[in-house]
Amino acid sequence: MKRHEPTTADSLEMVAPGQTMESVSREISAIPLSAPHMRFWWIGFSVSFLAMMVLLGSLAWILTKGVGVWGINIPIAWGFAIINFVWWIGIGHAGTFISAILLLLHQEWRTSINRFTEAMTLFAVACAGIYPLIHLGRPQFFYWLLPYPDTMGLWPQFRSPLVWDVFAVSTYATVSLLFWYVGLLPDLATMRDRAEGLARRRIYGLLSLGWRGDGGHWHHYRKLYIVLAGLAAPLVVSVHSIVGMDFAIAILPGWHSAIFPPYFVAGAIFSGFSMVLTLIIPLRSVYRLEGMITARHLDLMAKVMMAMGWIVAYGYFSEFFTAWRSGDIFDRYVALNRVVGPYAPYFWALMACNIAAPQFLWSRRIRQNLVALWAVAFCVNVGMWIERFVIVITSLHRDFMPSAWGMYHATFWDYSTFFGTLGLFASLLFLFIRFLPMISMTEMRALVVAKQKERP
Amino acid sequence: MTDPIDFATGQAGRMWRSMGERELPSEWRSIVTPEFALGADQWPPGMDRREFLRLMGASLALGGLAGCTRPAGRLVPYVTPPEEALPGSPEFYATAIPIEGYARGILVESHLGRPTKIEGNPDHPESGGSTDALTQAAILSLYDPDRSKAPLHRGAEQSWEAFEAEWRAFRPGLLAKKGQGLALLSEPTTSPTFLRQIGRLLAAFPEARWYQHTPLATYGVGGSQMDFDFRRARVVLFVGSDCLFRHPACLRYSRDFASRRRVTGTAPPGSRVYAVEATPTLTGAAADFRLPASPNRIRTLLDAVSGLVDGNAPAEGAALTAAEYAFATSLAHDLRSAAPEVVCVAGSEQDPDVQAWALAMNAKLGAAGGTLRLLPQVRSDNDPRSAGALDRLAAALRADEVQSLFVLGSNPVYTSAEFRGLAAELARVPFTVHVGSHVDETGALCRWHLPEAHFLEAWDDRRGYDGTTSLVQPLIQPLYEGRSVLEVLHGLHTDEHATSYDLVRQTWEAGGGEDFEVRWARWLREGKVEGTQSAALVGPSAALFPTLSRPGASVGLFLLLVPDASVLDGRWSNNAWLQELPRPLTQLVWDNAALISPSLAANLGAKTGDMLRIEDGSAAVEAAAYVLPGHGPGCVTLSLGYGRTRAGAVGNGRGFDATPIRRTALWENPNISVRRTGSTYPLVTTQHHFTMEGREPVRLLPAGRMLPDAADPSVSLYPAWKPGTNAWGMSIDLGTCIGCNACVVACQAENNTPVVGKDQVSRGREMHWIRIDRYFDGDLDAPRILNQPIPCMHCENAPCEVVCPVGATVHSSEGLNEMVYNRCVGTRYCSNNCPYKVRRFNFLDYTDRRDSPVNLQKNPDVTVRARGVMEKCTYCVQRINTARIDAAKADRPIRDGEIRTACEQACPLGAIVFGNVADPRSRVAALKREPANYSLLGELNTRPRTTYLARVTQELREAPA
Amino acid sequence: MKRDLYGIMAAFASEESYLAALRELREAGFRRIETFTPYGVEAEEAVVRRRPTPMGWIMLTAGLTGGAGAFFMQWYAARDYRLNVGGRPVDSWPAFVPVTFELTVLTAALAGVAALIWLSGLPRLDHPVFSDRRFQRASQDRFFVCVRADGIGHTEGEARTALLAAKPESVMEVFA
Repeated sequence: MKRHEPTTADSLEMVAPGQTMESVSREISAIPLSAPHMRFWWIGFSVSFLAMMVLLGSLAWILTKGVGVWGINIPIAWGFAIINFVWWIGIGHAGTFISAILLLLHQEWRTSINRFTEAMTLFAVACAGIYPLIHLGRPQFFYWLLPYPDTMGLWPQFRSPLVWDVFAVSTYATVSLLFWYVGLLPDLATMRDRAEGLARRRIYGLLSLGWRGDGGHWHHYRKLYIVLAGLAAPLVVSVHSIVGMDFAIAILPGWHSAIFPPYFVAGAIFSGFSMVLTLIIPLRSVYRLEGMITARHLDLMAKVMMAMGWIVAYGYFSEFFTAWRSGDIFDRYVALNRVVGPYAPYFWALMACNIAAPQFLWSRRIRQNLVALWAVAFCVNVGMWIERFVIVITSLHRDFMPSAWGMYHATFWDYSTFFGTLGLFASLLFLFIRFLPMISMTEMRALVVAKQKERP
Repeated sequence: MTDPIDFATGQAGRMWRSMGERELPSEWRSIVTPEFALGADQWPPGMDRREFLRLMGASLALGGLAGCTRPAGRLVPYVTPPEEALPGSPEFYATAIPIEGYARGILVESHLGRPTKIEGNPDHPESGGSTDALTQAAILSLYDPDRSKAPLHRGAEQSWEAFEAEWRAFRPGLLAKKGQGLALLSEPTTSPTFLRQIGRLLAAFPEARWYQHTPLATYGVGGSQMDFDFRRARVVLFVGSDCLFRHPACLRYSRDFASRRRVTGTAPPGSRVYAVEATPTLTGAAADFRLPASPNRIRTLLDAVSGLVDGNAPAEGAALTAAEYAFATSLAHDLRSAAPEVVCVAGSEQDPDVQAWALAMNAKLGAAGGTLRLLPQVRSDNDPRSAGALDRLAAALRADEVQSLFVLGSNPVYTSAEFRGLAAELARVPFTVHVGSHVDETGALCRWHLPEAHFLEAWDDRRGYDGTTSLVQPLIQPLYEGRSVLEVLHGLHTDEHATSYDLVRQTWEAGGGEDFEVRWARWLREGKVEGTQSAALVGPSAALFPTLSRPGASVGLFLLLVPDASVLDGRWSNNAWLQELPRPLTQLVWDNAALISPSLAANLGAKTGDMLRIEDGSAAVEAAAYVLPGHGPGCVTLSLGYGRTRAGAVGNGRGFDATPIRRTALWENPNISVRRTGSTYPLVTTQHHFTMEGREPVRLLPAGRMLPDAADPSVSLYPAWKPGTNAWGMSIDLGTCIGCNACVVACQAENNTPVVGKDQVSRGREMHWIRIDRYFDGDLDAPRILNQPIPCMHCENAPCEVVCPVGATVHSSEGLNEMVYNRCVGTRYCSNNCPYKVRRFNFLDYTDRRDSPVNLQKNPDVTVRARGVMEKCTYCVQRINTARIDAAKADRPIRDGEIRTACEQACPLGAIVFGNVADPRSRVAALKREPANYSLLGELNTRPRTTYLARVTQELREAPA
Repeated sequence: MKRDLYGIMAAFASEESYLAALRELREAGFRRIETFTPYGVEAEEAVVRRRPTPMGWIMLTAGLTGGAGAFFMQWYAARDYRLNVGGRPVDSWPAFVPVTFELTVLTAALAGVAALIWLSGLPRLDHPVFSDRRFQRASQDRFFVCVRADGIGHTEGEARTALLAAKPESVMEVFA
């Protein structure tokens, strides 16, 4: 794909006029350093922190009593824990997609949002990572899924997608962290140099490892950054493909489907972008970042979201098509059961949120109306959670043996763990906003200079 | 004493002495003394071993210590000579379990003196090696923590001495009046010793009264009982009878019945079975042709049938529906052509005229003396010495004629509506005594409550339905202070001390003979007394058909009362295994319910769970509705045994009490009204969907036809694994299985499967390793009712194994799908990927780790699973390993049939066969070659080692033109 | 006392002037030049000829090693504890692909970051150039060129004049 300027949004600027190297450095670093809008921050942070306490409470209870405090049963042995895991991991895909894949595609509009989305990725993955651990019947033995020299000569069972999951998610978390930190190095140096007070200078200095922008450093840095991006791109695809295989490898009708890996990846990016919009739209207003995260950015993200929405829609369609075409009575039943069965309301809510709602984005007016855009993005967030619910629950609750069919009733602890992780996610975000530059100053400087050259 | 007894004595001695060194420091004794010293000085010198063992019993009760308390050494183990016994290898003792007074021969597995499991006694005609669910569950009642532990005087703990002292003070007054005012209430019994005791008692107190009461069936018509030979019956008619499932001879009947139902090749079954009934029963479900009908229609149909058998067209008045007509004509045709090899059975709970009809029909067709035998009633229902039933006692109480009342193991205050009104009268009786295993509703109203010993704790003797007498030998010293009813009876009229052992021996020594000891030892070893089977009476000659009344001539609905499949009349209420055992056909657990047909449900606008109010003018009960396809129209079925208030922690306050609306000992209430109360009740079932959705998990195979060929499973992308010398597999015959649940409880007892309680079951977390699926096929008002036992299929391409991240479930070289509890981390992916959903997960900590006597029942050969671990059917791998070790020691291959899984061993119909499929000569391999053999969900290419034999169906005969 | 000189450093306000200065210095024959910029200036590569970075090779090697190791581990695990899992063959290699891929990426990434830190001689918290407060803008909006004092065949004076010729914002002496 060769570099091109979008035609629909020519009037929209990538950077507001009048921005200079100095101004971007100052404005961005001001947010952590001189901490504006502390009222907003404190309110937001304390609410999130309370929610995080709910998470800790729930975890304590679950570890004391066992996973039986959830609504899971036989046949529905997986419940909210897996739904939330997939949902969070999906959200965690926007970051790397934006910073890696768009970098490779020379989409310079990624510049002002990649730092934030990478952070979001990390925090989402942190939330996701909790679930596979606590959903174990015996979480104290989670490490049995890792290959280590066991005195009994035991190994993980590498044919199980759950083991693939362990490697995929941990790799993804690590690489995302490295990618994020490498990107942060020069900015931390800027923070060091702009910070007042010895303590702050020391802390930022330590974190920046003494970065001084030496040409030789940049020489290796550029190479590393581009290769990391090159690695991260297939990694993003692989991670959610593997999450998709957690289901596709099973013989369960409604799970056992070749479309799952690609359709999960699309779904992940879909939910990722919607989450980015849900968070960015209020933040840029609060912190007056319209100059750097312009209407153009929102417009482009909205388009990507709509495109992904269509891929997801195709996934839904192909599920039903193959069910019908295969003639397999079990597949057909699952398809039918989703549409008219006891969980049909979830299915139709899913259709409304994930297929109907994004269609509003065809209209440019809606794409540029912050409230409307935010509403659509929020719908998609909800929709993607429901999608995982439909996949996990409705496939399990009526499979092969009618005698073993059952229903799933979520308990208080199902919900409290979910809302708890929302709290953890938000708390981490607020801390990030408070102490680190949420936009890459280094890349903005380069962009500003480039734009100045372009301008006549 | 002669040899075998000495062996046993020595054996017992060795066992307990080693225990003694560990267990008898004096301070320890002091701990248990206050509770047990009284028992200690009871025993005459020379019997101090009993004293010690009694203390050991205490140690069990106190500590829940898994030690051994082998009773006095006069037991003779079954087959295994004692000197071969090793710690760790269980011994089996032959004894008998009394169910409704009738004996069933059993073998009890004992680990170092701790009974853990009950199996059938192959030598006993009423067992034939198999058991039913009740028998399997009986072992749990032994360890019931709610059993009464000491005598109670007005609710306060007292000693046996105190009771005896009070009674001795009271007795002279009685003696003076020849025992006038002394009343005994017991259940009808078959125990010769009990009856001998009664005789001696009535000799001492000529004016005393002995009443008998059972809320259940009497199994007799006019002093004799019908006994059938299904082995020779080519045509069978069940009229509201469940005699394959709930009957003193049900195990023998099932075995005989199955012998004609097994099909080979494409031949039809050896019998054509008809059933007409209002309440769906397992027996009816097993029939080829089942007709649901209200009690009135049943009688109309029977009249029509008797007419057709006589060669007359159905009477004009009786307009039969098309279904009824087809049924009746085909039945009549079959009966006539098959006579005399026919059997007509009327249910034990049917009205006498219906039973008389069945008798007459059998007689008319010449079955008498052949497939039908009349036996003298072995149970004491009609004993001339008895002063009658409960109503007589009630009258006596009202007239204040009773000075002292002894209730022996009966609970009339719960089971009889009339008796519930007699609390005041009971209170007026100066001396009331209740002997029972629990302080139940009756015990609570009596002055004295005396703990009764469990049948595995004391000596007794009982007779089976066919008269065969068994000596009931205990396996363990009483855990608490229980004594046998025999001992209590004995103590009533004499001060001379005698144990239940002495009393039973006295009964049989009467026969005398110098070789008595040898015979006695043989009786114990074989679990039966030879030559005690009843001789058949002269069968009835061709009798006339009785005129069948129409009880429900009025407009009202019918109320049908039935004993609950699990708790009967409430006597098993505190048995958690039985409470959590899915009821046949309904799959209900922990409750009973008012069963109604879909059509009646539509009329009432009721659905399952809606509360119904059932009134008959004078009385009313409320119960939750359960809509049961195939239930007879226009009637409601409610089972007894629920709404207990003093059953114990397990049984209290469950379900709905049917007693208030029950007229004494009657089963039908022909004129009731039913309406919805508007409230609902959470009924819990283990199955929620009862139609097959066209997936045919149960295959029906019309006689003479073949199943469509399944795809060749040998086709595979993968290289096959080298099979081991043994390849374990199982075959389950859906043509003979009647779904009696014996296998389910047997599995639970063998494999330490926990009980999870109603709430957890309602969340879909029951733990049974084998379940019986029920399907209703066809028209929901008259469906074909199908049962299908589902253990683990042990797939060769097991989907569960591939997805386990830690290799906690893998394949053994012998083809077992093994579950490695220690390795399991509990991802539950295996369960998601199991198409049969046979895996069970410990969502919470289900096994009570506290010192509960219940833990004494645990099978030491099977791991008790921890929280967060997956578990499932193992094909009883512990039994496989035992057999493998034995075979290795003897340097021989494992014999076919040497390994019997718990479910297979329990099955009364022999529907489950386990063995080595790699050995073409094995039974299981032969069955898998049958054309009716099929794999469940075989199209998934899971290659199950458990396969099924399709149920072969037959057609009604066309009415002769 | 006289501290020994690390180099002469000049600050430039724009990328263009900074690149111009670099070129002139190169033509004047200066070899030991250090640059400090607020973002990576790609054009600089052409002027200051650096050895191509080994980064690519390091990450490739690490990645391949990690991948091979991962596959071997799974292959070995299947043999070391030989279990019949669902009737699947012992070496069901397709199932081993995902883990192999993930570990390839992981090792490559880790090696890459390690290499950056190593090759850049980081972490180094103190450096002569930090001694001048003006240098703080190197991480913000100024481009710095530093001619090392021991520039072969050039004196301190020559360096200073060469830098001044490029019309910098300011010139400063950096002491080691």
